[in-house]
Amino acid sequence: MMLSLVLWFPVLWAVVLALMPEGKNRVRNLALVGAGGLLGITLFLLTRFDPSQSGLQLEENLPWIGVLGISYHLGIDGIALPLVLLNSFLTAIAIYSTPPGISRPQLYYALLFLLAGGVAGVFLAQNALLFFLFYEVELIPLYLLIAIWGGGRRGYASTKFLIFTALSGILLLGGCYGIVGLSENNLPLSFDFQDLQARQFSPSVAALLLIIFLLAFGIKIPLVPLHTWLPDAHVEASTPISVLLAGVLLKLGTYGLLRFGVGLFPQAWQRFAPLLATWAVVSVLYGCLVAITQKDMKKMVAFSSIGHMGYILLGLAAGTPLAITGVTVQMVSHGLISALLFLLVGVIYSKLGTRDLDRLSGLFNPERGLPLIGSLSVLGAMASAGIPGMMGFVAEFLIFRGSFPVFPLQTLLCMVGTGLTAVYFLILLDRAFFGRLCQDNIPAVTWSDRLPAIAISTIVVFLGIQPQTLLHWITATTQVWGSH
Amino acid sequence: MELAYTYAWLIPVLPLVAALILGLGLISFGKFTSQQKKLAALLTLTATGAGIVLSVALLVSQLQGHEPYLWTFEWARAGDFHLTMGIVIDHLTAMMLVVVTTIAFLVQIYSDGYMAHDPGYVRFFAYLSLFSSSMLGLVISPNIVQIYIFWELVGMCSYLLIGFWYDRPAAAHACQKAFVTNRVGDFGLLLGMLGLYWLTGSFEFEAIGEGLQQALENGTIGVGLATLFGILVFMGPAAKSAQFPLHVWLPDAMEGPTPISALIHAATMVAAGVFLVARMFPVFEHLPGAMNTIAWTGAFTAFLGASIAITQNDIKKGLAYSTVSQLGYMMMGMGVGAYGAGLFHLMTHAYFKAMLFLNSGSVIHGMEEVVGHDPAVAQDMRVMGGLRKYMPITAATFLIGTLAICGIPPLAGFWSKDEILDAAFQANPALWLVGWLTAGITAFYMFRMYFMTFEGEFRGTDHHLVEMVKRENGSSKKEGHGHHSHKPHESPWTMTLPLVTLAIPSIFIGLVGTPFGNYFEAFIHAPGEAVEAVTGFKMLPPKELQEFAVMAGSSVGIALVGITIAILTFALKKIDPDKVAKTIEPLYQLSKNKWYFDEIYDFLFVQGSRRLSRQVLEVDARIVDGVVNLTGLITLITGEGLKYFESGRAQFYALVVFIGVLGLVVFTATS
Repeated sequence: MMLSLVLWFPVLWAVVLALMPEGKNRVRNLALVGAGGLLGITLFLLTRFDPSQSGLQLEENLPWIGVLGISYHLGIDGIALPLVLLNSFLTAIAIYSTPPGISRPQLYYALLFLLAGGVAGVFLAQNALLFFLFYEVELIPLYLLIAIWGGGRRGYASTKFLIFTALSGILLLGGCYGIVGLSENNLPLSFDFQDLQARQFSPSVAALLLIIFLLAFGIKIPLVPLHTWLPDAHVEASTPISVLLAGVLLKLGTYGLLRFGVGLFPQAWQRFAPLLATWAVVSVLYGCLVAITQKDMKKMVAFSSIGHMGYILLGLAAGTPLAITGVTVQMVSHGLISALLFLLVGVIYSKLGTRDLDRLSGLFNPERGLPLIGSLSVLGAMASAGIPGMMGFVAEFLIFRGSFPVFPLQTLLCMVGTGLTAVYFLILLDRAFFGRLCQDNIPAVTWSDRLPAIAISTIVVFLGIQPQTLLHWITATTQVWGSH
Repeated sequence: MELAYTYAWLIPVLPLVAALILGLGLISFGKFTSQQKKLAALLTLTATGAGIVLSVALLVSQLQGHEPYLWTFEWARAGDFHLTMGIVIDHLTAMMLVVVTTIAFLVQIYSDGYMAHDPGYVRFFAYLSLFSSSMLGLVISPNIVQIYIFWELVGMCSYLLIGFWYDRPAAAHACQKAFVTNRVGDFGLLLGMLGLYWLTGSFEFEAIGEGLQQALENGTIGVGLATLFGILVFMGPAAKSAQFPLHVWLPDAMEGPTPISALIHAATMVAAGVFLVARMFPVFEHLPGAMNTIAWTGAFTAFLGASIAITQNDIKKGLAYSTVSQLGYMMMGMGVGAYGAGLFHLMTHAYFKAMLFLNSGSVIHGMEEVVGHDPAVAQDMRVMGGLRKYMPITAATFLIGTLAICGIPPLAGFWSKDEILDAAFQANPALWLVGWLTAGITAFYMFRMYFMTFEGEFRGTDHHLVEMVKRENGSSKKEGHGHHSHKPHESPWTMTLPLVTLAIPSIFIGLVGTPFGNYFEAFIHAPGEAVEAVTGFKMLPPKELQEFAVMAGSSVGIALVGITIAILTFALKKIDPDKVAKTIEPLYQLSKNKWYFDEIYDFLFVQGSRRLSRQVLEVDARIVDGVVNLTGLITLITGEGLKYFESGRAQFYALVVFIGVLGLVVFTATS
């Protein structure tokens, strides 16, 4: 029942919030209580999880619509566990960092909780169609969160987001039916992952299906050239939504690729691997190069996400146990670091009214600037560039170390990406924080502005110094996933 | 003594604790903490002082022949992949610990005087402690991954400290340049590390070396590939130790406060590259190609740095190019297999160059009194002169440092530099020739600096000259804020005490490594190399003595030639430097413009990457996104969508989408 609780508690809370009467702080406080509850439940999940086991745990399997092959089958392993925790944590961060005076708070917070439930469902689902359902359900609250509370061009951005991700969903659904319809062996209709694994395909069919899934999840990750929805969505989304979008939602793509691509088509995956590693290089370098010229801080961070998600594809392509471990750590690491950077950009935007690097400068000023936000930005930038002592290094080192023996050249080129990451983030720091202060009378940064960023920074540094804390939970699983 | 080993881990941890206390204090109670200057200094000094005590105890114990100490723990584990971290205390570590802690301690005392009026005093000490911690962590690393980790951390501290005066645009650019250049080197280092792991399955220095030797003997790997990985690893040291072609960041790094230039960019961090080559010696010694690359890179860098230092007018830039040049000597020494000699020069250079930089800081401090807080003027030697009268301690110690770096016996630099040149001669006389010529140039530019700064008439009150220098250096600062005095003054005791203290090793420390009883080499030599124990003063056999006399005589000779020319030019004014510059105009311009490296790199890499990324952006906006928008679908739907939001029926819309999705599922499932 643990997993159902993680999944349905936020949905239940969303209903409660939606039915709350108007009242200024009541809704927000209730949302914070719910976020704390969700985080508590997820942490409690840790006590029930046995890190020495490699397979699914705490499984729940109820027949649902047998005719369609859908069963309510949940389970968790060492790869899903940190992502579920990340989701609960960043949901709490997003709720806390929402400005108290937001319009239509009932709907807003209810949608955030629906989103959290949907995302948790994707990570926990062990049935392909159940996965698909949650994958689609999560899309609606996110679309509305951008479309209603977004910036000036929110209509364009949210619609673009909707079209892209709906397309991703359709491809996913098509792929699922393809697995069942095109397989060579005749098995009873079931979309459970473990049943799908038993299906066999001719090489060309397997390749076709894999391409479908690559496109479906490539949109979500996003991989170049399927990425164009992401910068627009980020620029128009409010800060808490950007935190969730970069922090958790992109991981649905890489997680899906792991479950569907690596998990269901191991042979085809291996055949495609060199191409995929090359695709990863293109994504990484493209994201970095476009980030260098950005003037909008938020866009720069958004393109940096594209680069960093590329490392995950590299690790998945290499498929060694170490690379898969690195992939899992990188999903968490990128989730935290990009969330941190978006939060910091959000604070700067709310205080100075601009994110334009040409108009910002000198924010390090200790009296009238934002010195602490500046220090945290340095930390975030360094973490993102893979400087040791922070989590990004552990993840990137594991991925590179795991991928190098398989794809030396592609790994080398991806490593160039970490150098370029340093370049564009140093440009950001140079423009925004060094030099003379650009504005007077900047409103004071309050502790509630700083707290979420400090919380994330602490975790990023802690896991950078003590990576075993995280590796402990995931290695048993990743060893199995990487052994093909 | 065992106690010292048990508590060795405190050496890097104590400064880290100091940094954390100061950092957390600044975050939580910014105003209050930034006023607690004395407390901050005391805390930092206590941490470093305790480090000195432990380091000296360890050095003594190692000198008495204690076994190397190794303590490791598992840092990260994934299946059969283990990453260990820990502490190794052997001869090399013990020496480095003492060098780093003593210089750090003196620099911290000095900083109290130098930074006294800076509003960022406490922040400075926090960064300083963080750096000390990272540097000490690097020194005690038992494997290359841990070195890499601390390697990056010292790089980050260097970034923070170069950019310490964040409101100076030059500092902002310099820290960016330093970080990016070092990233280029680190990229090679990481790649080389991964490659060597791939070949040998280990991150431990000795194990990589053994594995490599075996694999090379068995023929399972090609020499070419192994050499390639060796050279990639060397990219890291090349960047950190400012070797050609990655030397460009170090002179710019002088934008940081001068104590930083002394500690990080002269004595410790930049020497980390040489240290890593020493640690990786078991690997490099099997790769003659890599060794040659190191030797020639070092030799060329030594010459390059010296040739640029001749024409610099900024006292710190001059010293910076001198550092580049001296690091080149060390690398050349390592490259020709003179392990002990290279590290010997590392140690002697650390002391006298730290002193020279602190001297320059003292000079700048005195000049600021006269010309104002404008680095473009206060650091320019053209407006100095005659400072010996006003700053006798600074002048005397600077002269000691100058003599030491020129290689005048019996000062420290003579013994170490001579040992390197000797080894270079035996390996390849061409290398020796480059090093020998460079020694002459070194003597010339160092005495040029000494004379321009400390002898002759004081020129700082000549407003015409000051304005000219200001214009030439592109300073926009207006003169006349605050009242200046007409005479520079000697620095406070907190600044002169470290100078005098550093003068002692600058004079005497070379005596531990004379050919007549090389205690240094007996203590620090390449792993596996047999060195006989030293029993006291030992007369060399006649043949060796003759050899030594010829080598030493020739290098002292060329140094004296350099000094004589400098005296003729800058003290006696028999030679007019401007006239000489005119006659060799192209060479003069080449040196003055630093061989145009900045311009070339700017064009190739900075502009190049900008052009490339602008083109990629164009592709992104026009083509990739253009195709998406071309379908026109988005604008169409946007219009429709907006209508719903404007009428406030978002909830209804959500319901429609939700039902649509469900319908899609059911439809596709049943059909």
